[in-house]
Order: sequence, then structure tokens, then C-alpha cells
Amino acid sequence: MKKDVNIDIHHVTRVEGHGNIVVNAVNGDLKEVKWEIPESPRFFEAMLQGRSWREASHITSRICGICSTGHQLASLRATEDAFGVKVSRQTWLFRKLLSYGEFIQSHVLHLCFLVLPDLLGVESVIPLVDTHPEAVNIALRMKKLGNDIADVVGGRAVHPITPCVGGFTKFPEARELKTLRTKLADSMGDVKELTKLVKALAKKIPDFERDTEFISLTWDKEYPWIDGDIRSSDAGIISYKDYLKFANEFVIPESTAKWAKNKRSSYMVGALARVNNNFSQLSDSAKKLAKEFSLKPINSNPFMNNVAQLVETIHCVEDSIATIDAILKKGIEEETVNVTPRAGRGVGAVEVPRGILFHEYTYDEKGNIVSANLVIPTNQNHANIEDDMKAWVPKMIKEDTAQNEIAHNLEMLVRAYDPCISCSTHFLKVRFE
Amino acid sequence: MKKCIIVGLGNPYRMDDSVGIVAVDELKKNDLPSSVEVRDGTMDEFGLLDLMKQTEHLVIIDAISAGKEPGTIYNFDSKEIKSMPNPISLSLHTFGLAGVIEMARRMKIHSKITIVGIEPQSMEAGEELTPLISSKISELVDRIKNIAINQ
Repeated sequence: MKKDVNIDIHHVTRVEGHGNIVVNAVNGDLKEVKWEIPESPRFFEAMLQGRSWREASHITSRICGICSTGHQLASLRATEDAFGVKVSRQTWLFRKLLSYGEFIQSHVLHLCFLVLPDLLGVESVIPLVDTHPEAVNIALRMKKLGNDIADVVGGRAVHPITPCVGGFTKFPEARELKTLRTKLADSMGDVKELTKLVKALAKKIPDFERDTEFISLTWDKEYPWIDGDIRSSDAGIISYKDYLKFANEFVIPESTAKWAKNKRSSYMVGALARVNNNFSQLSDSAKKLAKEFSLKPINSNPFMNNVAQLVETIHCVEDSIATIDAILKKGIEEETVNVTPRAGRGVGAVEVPRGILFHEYTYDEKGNIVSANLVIPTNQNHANIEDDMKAWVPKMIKEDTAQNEIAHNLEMLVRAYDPCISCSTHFLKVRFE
Repeated sequence: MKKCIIVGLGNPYRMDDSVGIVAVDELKKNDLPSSVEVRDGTMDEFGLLDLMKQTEHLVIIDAISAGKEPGTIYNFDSKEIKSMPNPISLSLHTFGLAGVIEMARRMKIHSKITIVGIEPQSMEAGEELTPLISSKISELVDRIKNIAINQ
């Protein structure tokens, strides 16, 4: 049945930051679909100019409270790349563990607090306290576990203190790692319970697919988190230093955040992109879980990003234990960090919960930043979100879906990406004419 | 279980929004009974739920913008909060104190929660309290001590 559709949602709920959805259709013909970002710009790229290499990671970790570790690690890698600093295996293991803490708490919190309400048909997590207390308690326990990992390894739960260029200012003690290991092992019960809950609701995951380009890190040694080069499901692999060949940012009038494209008008980053591009390197348990949800590469349903988050969570918990075992087996050793700043360009490419993150800095000979470029995962997803809407809305109109259901489905779509909108609005150039 | 935990919230880079942190630093210099513990508020909102489980009485200190004259000191029981933000707006980054208090109520976490705060004069970028609020810290600390020890 042909009909008019007018949707104007200001501030999509249950996402971080502000985004608007606009849909207009006349007599069944789609006239307009827009995903608008009115969030205030953050100006971090400008803030970094003139700052010392010692400050960059501390400044950029303030871009976000949820993914502060990821920003910090990308920043450190960019500076180390510029100065030619190599880190020890011990540092690498500790950084991976720190990263896992962020993934565990971010993925589980997103699933329980932001996605489960959609699958259960309630407006927020608050009613779940009464109807599904186990889900709420799992989320809070895993959140605490993630915070404990950051506290032990990074010196603080939010905006870690101890990571620095070349290593750490202080390593944890062995007894602290053993306590963490016990907590991680105990958390497997929570992951299994969460899996059961999501499986029971799997039929409610919307069945929408669109052929999509997926971009993520890739590494021949293991599932990539803080190392590797860049893989596009369309265009193959390039060096992380050449990230600008894939991450082509552009500005649109309706958005204070930049958008990005590569081979198509958009691409997707995040858990689904990582799983699609690196499936064989997941742990055996993670692969088994993926198969239970019929998640195998290449899956082009953006809602399966949330199943991919669950799959990655189990991988992260298991590999956190293995990482601690590796550190303790060798014993924690003191390290001396020597850094000599130099002029040059450096790129740090890491995966954070929402997707691949790039920090690029150009330094002068004194080690002060001349220019910086930050490409945030949510930046890179904005165009893909809109392209998904453009593909899905006509289908829903054709199926005679009620307007309020179309609106709700589009909000669910945005939430499936787990966007961090205020992370993505970091720079705006203004030209006065 | 501690009889009382005092926690200060705030942003150390937004002038009077740091009042919770400053008050906690001052409290740590005072002699307090062993049943009262003072904690740094470097945590997210969900960390407050953890604290509530550890004590009979949680005292939260923060800047409170309630429309009265800057420097006005407030204290109220969380049960006096009559409404909370629209629950459908809750995200991971803006869950808010009222959302956490509502969660605690539904989770049947029974600790008493008292909120103590002060009307800020300025929350612009800066690392110092305004002179007005700085002059009120002593009075604020005395109010907090009285509530923590006697209520």
C-alpha cells in the first residue's frame, strides 16, 4: 500500500551523543532519508597542536570515558611510530590486557543496557531490573571486571595513568594479576548466562541485510586488537601507515562529524567487521558461539554486530587469562624506557570496541605536535548507517510497516552500531565568507 | 559493612564542578570515626552502586545547580527526589545519578543515600574553585561531617 511517511526523531535514545533521523516518503516514494549529527564539535585535533609528545596520550584519552584506553593506546602507537620506538613483549602483553578490559566492559554493557531493552520491547534498562535482574547484575559485574583490569594494569579505571610512550611507568604486581585471573575465570559463568539470554531472543534480531564493505585491522599472528595492517573486505590489505587510502573522510552539511567512504559510498567498522575479516583467528569457543548464531563471514546484517560483540567478549575473557598466564610465566620485569623525540609522522591504528581507530601525529624536532588527524570508528560508520536506512526504509514501506514501527526500527539500527557520537565530532573547520 | 562512606564527584578541570573532589581532599585531613570512610570519586555512575552495597549510608558530594544563590549549600535524602530524567534517554555515557538511584531502589539496595552539594558560581574551564566557593569549603565540610557522623 502506498502511503506517506514522515519521521523526524530528535536525539535518538539509548545512544551516546546526539543524532537525528529524518525520513520523508510521499505515496510510497522515498524522498529523503537522513542521519544527522548535531553534536557539538570537540576540537581535539586542534587542541593537540603545539603539545608535547608526553601529553598526547593523556589529552586524547579524554576524548571518551568509555574508550579512553583505546584512544590512549592509539596515541602511544602513533608517537612510537613517529619516533621509531619499539616496545617489549611484556609491554605488548600488558597493553593487550588493558585493551581487553575495555572491550569486556563496553561490549557487555552495550548488550545488556542498550540492546536487550530493544529485544525485550522495553524503553530502557530500568524495567529490566525487575524483569531480568540477572542481565543487569551480569552487566554490572562485567563492568566492574573491566574497570578492575584497567585499575590494575593502567593505574585507574578511567583515563589510565601508567601507559606511556615506550612502555609503562609502573607495572602491576604478580599477586594483583593472579587476583584478576581468578575474577576472569569466574566471569565465564556470566558470559554463558548472557549467551543463553541473547540466544533466547535471537529470533527478535531484525532480518535485514545490505551488501557492505567491512574495514578492520588484520594481523597474521592473531585476532587483531592493537597490531596489524588494515583489511577491507572489498579492497584487500594495506599498511596501517597508508590508512588514508581507505579512510576517506568527508564533510556533509547535516553533520558536525565527518563521514567516511572507500570503495562504496560507505563502509562499516566494529565487531562485525572484525569478525567478518578475521573469523578464523577467533578462539575456538568464540567460533563455536558464532556458529550457534549462524554468524559466519561475510555477514551483512548490521544487527549481527551485537552478536559479534558477544562472540568477541568470550574471546577477550579467554585470551585475557592466557595473557596473564604468559606474563606470570616469564615473571614481571622492570623496564627502562628511553625515548628520543624526533621530527616525523607516525600513525597508530588500533581496534576499540566500536571499530578501527586511527591517530596520526606529525612532530617537529623538539617532539611537539605540528598537526594531528584522528579518525574515529563512529565517524567511519555514519555514512553506513544512513545507507542502511536508505535501503531498509523502502522495504519497510513496501511491507506496509506502520510509521511508528519504521521509526523504532531505525532507532534500533543506530543502536546496533553502538555509536559513540561525541567521540566522532572532534573537528570542524569553519570558513567565513 | 561501613556505617558511612563519603564520596566526592566532579570534574577537576571545570572550576566549581570540582567542589566534590576538593571537599573530599579536605575531609581526609580531618579526624573521622573509623566507621566513616572517605573515597575518591574517580568512577562511573555504576561504581556508586558498588559503594551503596558496602555501606549503610552513602554520602555523595557534588556541585548542585538548583537555581539558588551561588554558594548555597544543599543536603537532601535521595528519597526526596520526586522525578528522574526520562528513562528512555539513558545511555552508557549519561546514565546520571538519578538513574543510578532508581536502579538501586529497584535492586533493593537499602543503604541510605544523602546528597550534599553547593550551588556553583562558575563551571567554565579552569583548575581552581571560584573564590566564593573556595570560601565555603569549610562550612561544606562541617555539614558533611555532621551528616556522616550523626545521621
